[in-house]
Amino acid sequence: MERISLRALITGLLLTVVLITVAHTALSQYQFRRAAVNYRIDSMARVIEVAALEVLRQGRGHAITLGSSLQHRLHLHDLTALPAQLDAPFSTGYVEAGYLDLVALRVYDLEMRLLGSGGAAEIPALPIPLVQQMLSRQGVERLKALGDLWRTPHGPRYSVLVPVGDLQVSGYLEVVFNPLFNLRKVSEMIHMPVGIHDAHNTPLLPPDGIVADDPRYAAMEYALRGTDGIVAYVVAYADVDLLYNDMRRIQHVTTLSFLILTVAVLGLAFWLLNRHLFQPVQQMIGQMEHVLHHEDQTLVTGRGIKEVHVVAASFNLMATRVREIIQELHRISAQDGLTGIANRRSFNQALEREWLRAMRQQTPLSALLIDIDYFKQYNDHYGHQAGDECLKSIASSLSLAVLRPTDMVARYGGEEFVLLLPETDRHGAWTIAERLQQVVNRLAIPHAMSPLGQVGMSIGICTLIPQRDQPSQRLVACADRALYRAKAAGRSRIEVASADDEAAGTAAP
Amino acid sequence: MRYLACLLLCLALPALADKPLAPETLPGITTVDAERAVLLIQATPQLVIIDARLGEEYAKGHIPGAVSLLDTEMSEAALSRIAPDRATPLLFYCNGERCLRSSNAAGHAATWGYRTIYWFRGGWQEWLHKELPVAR
Repeated sequence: MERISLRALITGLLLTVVLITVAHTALSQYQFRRAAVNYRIDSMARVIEVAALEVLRQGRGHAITLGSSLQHRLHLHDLTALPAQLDAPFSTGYVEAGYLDLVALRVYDLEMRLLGSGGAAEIPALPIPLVQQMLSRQGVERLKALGDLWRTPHGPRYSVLVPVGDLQVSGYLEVVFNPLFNLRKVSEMIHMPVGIHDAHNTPLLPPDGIVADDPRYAAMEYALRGTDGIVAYVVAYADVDLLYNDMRRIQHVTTLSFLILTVAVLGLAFWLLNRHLFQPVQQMIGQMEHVLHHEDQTLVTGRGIKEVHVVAASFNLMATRVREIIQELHRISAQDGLTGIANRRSFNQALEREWLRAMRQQTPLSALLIDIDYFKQYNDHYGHQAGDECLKSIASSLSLAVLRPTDMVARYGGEEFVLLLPETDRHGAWTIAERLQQVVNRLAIPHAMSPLGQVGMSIGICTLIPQRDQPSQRLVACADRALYRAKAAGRSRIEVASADDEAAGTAAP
Repeated sequence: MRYLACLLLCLALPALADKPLAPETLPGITTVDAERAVLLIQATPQLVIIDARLGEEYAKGHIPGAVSLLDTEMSEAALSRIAPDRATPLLFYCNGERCLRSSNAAGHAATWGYRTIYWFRGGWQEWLHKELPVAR
């Protein structure tokens, strides 16, 4: 599975945060819009209330004025003349046109008994609460006009009762008018379409140009209460777009500036992360990979945030340690544990290298295979401890005797040593072999079980100019055969490989 | 100190811009409200009600039984024609508490020797507000 990168993870997280922020902004803006519209609708409802009460108050004022002027002409004691007097304003067209929609005029005595009426005949009797209120008044209060909204089967009516006979009250004149005529003006006052319906939702005055449930309009309702409960509802229709228009700009500016700020902060965050985290980590990873795959001494350079520096320093420390360990392991694997000179494995590597070089340059390559004479007996007689000491001193003598840096001394087996001499002919090899024997003889390690009385060695020399398709082991095999003949010929001798030996070198030693 | 004076002046300016209020009471004159005035009118047939406003204001509507007599045109002789007897009770009113005509007229009447003077301080404004009967 592909592992997610630090950059992808943090970028994803940042984008998620931005998405949540944007979603939250959109949601809160929507809620703000709704709250703002609701708030405006609430305050507009107050405006409707004030406007509706104001037009009704004006209507009431007109009704009182009309009643006051009419009551002078009424003769309450002459009941036969009353109907004609009350009908006169309707029949002669006397209605204060433009101010009131006069429906009826009725006259009562002081006990609120109906004496006569004019105008619309089907007006029901006044609601009892209003009559009771009239009758319960005392003293000067009885001179004051009284009136209210009330319900009739034909819609809402407004009645105002004014005293007849000025200050010497002898009865009351009731002026009944249709309040819808006045309420129509609410629309003009608040500059909104206004409709009126009764408690059963029956339209009394339909709003201009508005169909019911139009989503573009917010309906604001105000209940008009009369003396006998709710008489009608005034509904104003506010254009939602218009309501919200001035707020929209503020909202857009705040939203836009918030989003710009968010994007700027995000950009800055990403830039900082990229500069101080992503790039340094990426660079560090690249350098680490280089260090892993290359043998050179390069190290990781820390950059950016503290943690990258810490990781780089730790990595460098570890890389240096690992390099030291590897070098140590290399050294150990190439060295013979007992004698400290090269072991057979590193000899084989050197042989392969020099064999190919000699083949390329067509130069002679010589090998000296050395065997310590009667070493088994030495071991048995003096013990393994002494045997090891013997091997050590011979090995150090041999390596000291080899002067050229290209020459190599290695321990080949138990008591066998081998010398590899590049660019050395048979004669040169012979000279070196003689010198080696002298060096070992000069050591004069006593050996009671040897006919010579001291430790000696046999040497087989083989010199070859490597040819194509010949294995390098051919040289060792050839030297081995020469060594065998040296041993067979009485030990402590040097034998140079014959042509037979050289030819037979293909056989495994 | 100068700043304080300026501040006080600034605060006082709106008040100065309004018409001054009529005095709360007048010496030797009984101040009444609308209800007291109605009771007085009903109980005192010989009471003379004097509307101290302009003639056109009187024409638009007035307290039933009132006579129009603008305060600036009210001389001792003019008042004597309406109420020859100095014992006749008088009731003065004008537009309201920001109108100085009725207090002015009532003051004059008192200096001319009328003994029973009533002053309806709330005037026409209070009368209309209480929706009392209007004559025209």
